[in-house]
Amino acid sequence: MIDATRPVTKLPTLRIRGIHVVVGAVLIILGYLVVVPLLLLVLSGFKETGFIFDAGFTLRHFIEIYVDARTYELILNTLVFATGSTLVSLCLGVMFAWLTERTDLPFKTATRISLILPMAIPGVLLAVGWVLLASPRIGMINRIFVTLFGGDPLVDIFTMSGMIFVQGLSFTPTAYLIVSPSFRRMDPLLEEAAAIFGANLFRTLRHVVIPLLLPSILAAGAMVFLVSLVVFDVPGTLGMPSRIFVFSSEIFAAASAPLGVPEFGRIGALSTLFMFFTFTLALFYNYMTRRASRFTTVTGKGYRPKLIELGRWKIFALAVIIFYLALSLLLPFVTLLWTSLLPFYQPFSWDALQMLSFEGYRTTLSLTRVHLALSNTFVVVVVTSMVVAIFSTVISWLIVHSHPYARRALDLLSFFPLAIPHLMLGLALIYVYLTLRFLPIYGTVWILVIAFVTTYIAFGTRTTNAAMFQLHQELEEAARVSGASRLRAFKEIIIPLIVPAMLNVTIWVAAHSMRELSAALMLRTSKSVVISTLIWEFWAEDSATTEAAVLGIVMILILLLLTVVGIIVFERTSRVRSSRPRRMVEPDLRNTLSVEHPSP
Amino acid sequence: MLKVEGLWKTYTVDGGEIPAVRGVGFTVETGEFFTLLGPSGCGKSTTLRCIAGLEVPNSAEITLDEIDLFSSRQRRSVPIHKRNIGMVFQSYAIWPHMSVYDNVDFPLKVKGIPDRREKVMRALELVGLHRLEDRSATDLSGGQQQRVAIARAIVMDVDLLLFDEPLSNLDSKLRIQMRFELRQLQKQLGITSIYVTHDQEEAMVLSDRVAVMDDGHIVEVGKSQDIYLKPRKLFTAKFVGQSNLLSCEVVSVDGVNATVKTVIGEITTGAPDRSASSEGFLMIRPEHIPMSWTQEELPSSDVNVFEGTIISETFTGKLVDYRVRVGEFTFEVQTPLHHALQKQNRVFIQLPPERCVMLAKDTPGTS
Repeated sequence: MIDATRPVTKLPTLRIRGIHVVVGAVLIILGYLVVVPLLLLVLSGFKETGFIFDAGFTLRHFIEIYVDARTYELILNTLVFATGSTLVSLCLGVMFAWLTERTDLPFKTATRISLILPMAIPGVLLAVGWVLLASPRIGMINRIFVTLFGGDPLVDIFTMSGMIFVQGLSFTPTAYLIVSPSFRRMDPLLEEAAAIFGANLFRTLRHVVIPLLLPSILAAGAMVFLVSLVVFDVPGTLGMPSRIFVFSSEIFAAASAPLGVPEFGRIGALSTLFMFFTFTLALFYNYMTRRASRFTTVTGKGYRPKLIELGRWKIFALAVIIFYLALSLLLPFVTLLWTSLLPFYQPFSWDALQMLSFEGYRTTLSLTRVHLALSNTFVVVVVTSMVVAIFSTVISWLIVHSHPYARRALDLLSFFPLAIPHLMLGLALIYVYLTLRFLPIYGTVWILVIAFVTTYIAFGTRTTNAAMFQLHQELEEAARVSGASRLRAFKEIIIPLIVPAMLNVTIWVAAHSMRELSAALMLRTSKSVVISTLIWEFWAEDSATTEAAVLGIVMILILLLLTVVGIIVFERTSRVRSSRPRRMVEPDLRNTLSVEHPSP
Repeated sequence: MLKVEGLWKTYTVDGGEIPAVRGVGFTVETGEFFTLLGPSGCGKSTTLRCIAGLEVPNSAEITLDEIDLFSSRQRRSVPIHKRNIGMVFQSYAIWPHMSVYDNVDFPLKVKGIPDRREKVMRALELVGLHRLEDRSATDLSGGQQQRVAIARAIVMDVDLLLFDEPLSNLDSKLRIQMRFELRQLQKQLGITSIYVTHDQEEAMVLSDRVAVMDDGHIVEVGKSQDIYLKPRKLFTAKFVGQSNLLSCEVVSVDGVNATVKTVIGEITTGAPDRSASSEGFLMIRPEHIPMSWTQEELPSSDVNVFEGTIISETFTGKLVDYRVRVGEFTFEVQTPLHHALQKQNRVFIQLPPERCVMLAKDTPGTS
């Protein structure tokens, strides 16, 4: 029986319920993290000195940029670089996805996993590895070539094509991961239906397969293009020595001007211009992923895809994959390993072989700077990954439960950081915490935590959204009807069911905040040094190549471990998920992407 | 006793308000099994969810045993988790991270009830799952999961049981068995129950009374028999079961009988039920039409006998469906199998007056 004296909620409080307060609080935190830095950055472009509390506004910086011929060279370079690396990674990614999902390629599981492994090598280390391999002066390939055949060096990595090559290799796993689910889920019945109606293979491909896959391929393209526009690691390592500048490296150079104050005004203006493009692209990407999920989630039923027989091309396909893995993983890794075991860098020879020792590891790992970097990295990685996992879960839960307007606002605010170049976010945070001094965290590792939480919340919420929408709403409702309060249902039903996704986010964010270089470089002080920035510093000192390599190897080993754990968790998550009833979802909130977004 | 009055609920979709339930009201007696029956999108589930508290109505007065669950007049609402009801969902909503036992134990645990083990085991026994208590919930078959959901709903001494199309995900054989068991269980426990379904057969089997819903309204409420045999609304006749509907006009009424004019001639029916309108439809169910190859073989050969031509014949297993053309009208007729053995297209059918139901035309907009 219902107890008549039981407290009942008055109706007015139904309208302003606890959930609205939480939504408000989360929107304010997100706004503070995302909007405030951007606003300050844009504002600084309109200030004479770039300092936002100066009086008056000016368009001087924008006009200067507009009339400066260098700007157009910069735009051209950036576009060539981004287009090139997108094409390379997209072609490879689509080809690998097709091979592993739609053909009878042997060793599929092993192949799938090894195609993800190159993600464990941060862009900067891949670039460093390739400098050691293909620099005209010290590169191993060139030294061996010149010794054997004489004449000029064979390859030069410090060129635009070198940059595109390395960046393309580095983004291939990303493209592969975005595209392969839609290859896997495309119902072969659609292909068969087309075949029954008399379409030949070519027509089937053109009229059925390509249109169905196009949205996800375009989504992958937009994503990789977006990240190629803002990435700093590779252009910074390979482009700057030969003075090939793209937007990111230009801003880096302007911000770390050797003489006097950084040109904040010019940076602000450039960033504003630049972010106009990235935001447009981000919206396009968001739109394409929605379409992709609409097309490819054709059925939830299990079926055996009809596999295309490769026949004698099998060997060739495997060879291509192994070649890719050699270029993107093995060669750079072995080169770094080789370097880390030698007192100074030299190409392979019998003499060098005699000199191999772990001495480099001993000296490097006993440096105080290294100790500080390791402990800072540990703090940043642990705090960032936990905060992102929890915050994303809360945001996703609110997205599922709140009013459509609040839902849209939460979704967009948590998605936009994807469009903010890390470098610029780093800069913007300098503005925020130098000018608004209510949180004295400038120069500490906590400013890094704020930067990373802001950037990775986009990935975190994409993943938890997907998981949350796959939970049938009735699971929570059953708990509520059974007598559990909202909080209790969240704690006892939602959290346990969403833990695999949270774990997935934690691992991904841990891996990426460990390798993140751009924002960390901007916010670097002697106190807030982390492994990635320390590698950069060692690499910049010509005499510390061994130290850079040692730290690089340490980092790659940790990242490899995290990646493998991540793959295992992800495999398990997808298995558990598929056994659960699916919930009908409005298509605009679905997201096929739950695996990986690359780190700029 | 559950009383629902003036229940309105609109949803906001793409900035526009879409009404789902428009002023629904009904009363369910204590211990009664009451069913909301209607096509998808008619507002039956929304009504149920408003009673459960899963949706907040725009306005309503909902009282359960004299206590306001929701009242716009008094601006009061009991939160979902304090309403003391049990609910069985369409998707089973079994928590996959818990065992069978833990699933059923959950309502007791969150309410801090003593002697939980005993209660859980009794509930599991009632649904025949007491040997599977340690199993992980995901290892069960669909039917077993549904039983866990039922056990979870009845483990507390709830005041009201709500069923949201609980059997629609089961295969047809299991569905029929579960119907039967569910009815037994409800009678045994005597809990007031509201059941939502679009399956009219399920509604007939389970319910004491049925409310037929369409487009956010309750079209009519009645005992399941009456809903089928003597519907008062055209929508009910169309939605519940198959029916032949002849548009007709009343010619004369003489106490117990009436004569109506139709396209196939005059037909005698029972007197039209209070409906003053002289125009409407005459409804007769396909299985209520005797059919024969000679007029003499019909049960009573004097009234409403028509000669027709068989234009199609379909075996459905138990029965044979015929389509019989009489003048300008085609009747659906269902008869037992032996008739099919005859090979002749000319037949006689009879429309027994007591089976003919006169229905007023539904006024547009209010259906």
